[in-house]
Amino acid sequence: MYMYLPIAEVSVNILVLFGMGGIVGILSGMFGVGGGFLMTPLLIFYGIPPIVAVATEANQIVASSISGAYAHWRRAAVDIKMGTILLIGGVIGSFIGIRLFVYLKNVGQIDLIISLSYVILLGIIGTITFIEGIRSIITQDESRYITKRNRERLWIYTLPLRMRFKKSGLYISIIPPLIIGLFVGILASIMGIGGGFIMVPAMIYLLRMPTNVVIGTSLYQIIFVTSLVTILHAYENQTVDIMLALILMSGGVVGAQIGAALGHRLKAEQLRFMLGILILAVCIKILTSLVIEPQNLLTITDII
Amino acid sequence: MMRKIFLYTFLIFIIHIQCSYANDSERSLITQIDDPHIQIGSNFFGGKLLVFGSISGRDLLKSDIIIKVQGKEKKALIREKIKKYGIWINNTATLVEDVPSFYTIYSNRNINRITDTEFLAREEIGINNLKFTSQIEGPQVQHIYDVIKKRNRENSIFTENFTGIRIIGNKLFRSSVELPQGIKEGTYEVSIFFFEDQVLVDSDISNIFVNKTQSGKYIYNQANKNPLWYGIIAVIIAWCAGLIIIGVSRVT
Repeated sequence: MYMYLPIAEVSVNILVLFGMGGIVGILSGMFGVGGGFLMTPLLIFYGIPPIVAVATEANQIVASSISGAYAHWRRAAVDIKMGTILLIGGVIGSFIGIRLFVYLKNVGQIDLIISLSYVILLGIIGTITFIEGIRSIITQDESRYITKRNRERLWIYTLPLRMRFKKSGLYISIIPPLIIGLFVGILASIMGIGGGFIMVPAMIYLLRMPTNVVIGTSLYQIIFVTSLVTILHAYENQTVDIMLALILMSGGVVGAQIGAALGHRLKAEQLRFMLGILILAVCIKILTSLVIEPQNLLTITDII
Repeated sequence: MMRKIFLYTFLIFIIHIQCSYANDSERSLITQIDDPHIQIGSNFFGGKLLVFGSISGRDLLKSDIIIKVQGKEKKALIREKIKKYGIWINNTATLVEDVPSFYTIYSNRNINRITDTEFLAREEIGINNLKFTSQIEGPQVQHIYDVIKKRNRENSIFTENFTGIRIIGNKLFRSSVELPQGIKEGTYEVSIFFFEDQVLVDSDISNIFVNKTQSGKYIYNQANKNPLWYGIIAVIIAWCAGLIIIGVSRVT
């Protein structure tokens, strides 16, 4: 079952894309991540132009994070105040990211920067997730580790512009969450990711937020940042493919159900361990494509 | 079916004209394109352009025909990848102009045997005779031109088929020109050259139009003409999809 995508201008197999959307859905159901870090590279591997993959994936993440955020919101596991501060940072970051994206596109380096960003981020996050997964499997006692770390007082707590976040039980400066949000906003624009896999560890280890509210709060921020990134990409680059996004979203509906069911059956440590392997595998695949001599040394970009 | 009936009726009509004017000294090339409007739909995997015709007062078995289909010429930015810090990155960019968006040659035999090389070069008949322009000169730019030709050949954007024209009887010629999956929207020029003893006897030029179908075209146009609204609609669709996912998960 093939289909011609009007914006990507390629013919694609609907079932393959539906399956990809399903995988992302399973991931969001199992790990509470948007899955963009995996989906954007998969789309590029499949032959979707990187700039279309990034913009369209941002659009798809909007849908998957809305459903994810809703589940956490029902459990009252969203710190709206903290989420809003992260969102303000995210909005500023999105605008900066889009300007950077347009500049890199014009100088012909956007594809390289997208790949490099993935290699660096997936390399770091994959390694951390993998090690944490192994460590928690070995010690079997994650809570003691986090509690011990929570007692330490970080220098970022002492920065000015402090605010009380009742839900998270914190009284900290708004500068760190603003910067985290800003960084995630830039990454969302350039990489087509929600940034949950960066924001969640940052919220736990830097902001010391309670683990039960971090995923819900990050999803809350992701909904609005990816919505804005979609609009900005559509406006600046005309690279959002609604047809492609729709296929991915439909796959996501099915995948999220499977993911949620699987998430209940498997242990958290196993999930984290698996996620680490998955992230590292994608990272290695992209790195290989950068290091190995390309088949075509000349790239041709059509200008109409 | 209706198209076939029409086509055969037309062929009979042409044969009739041919017979009626067999002794006429006037030599006119009559050509017809079955359907000059090609639609790129959601399930477009390439199409076929049926070109047929006849020339009065000539025996086609002793003649040669070349069909050239060419898309609008565009500019291409060529970037060379070099290895820096262990990874392959884009280096310098060269702007190359006059690159056809699509180019194909169909003939009844090898074009080099049909007519002289000067004519082929002048009319840019044959992929090797395509002339691109660039601000830089020298062997390096020639290499870039060769790569453009090679890459477009690989993607079936530039093709040659020297056995792609069938002569029916001695009066009619017929060709089914393949249009690749990746063909872009636009107007394409179809030139038909008729040769006898290596000399051009007559030629004809017509246009075909490649359009996206309504839904695809509408989406493409909206994305380019109303990008802000398009982006907002894309987000609204995503929000609706998210709410559907919530609904489905609540039911299950």
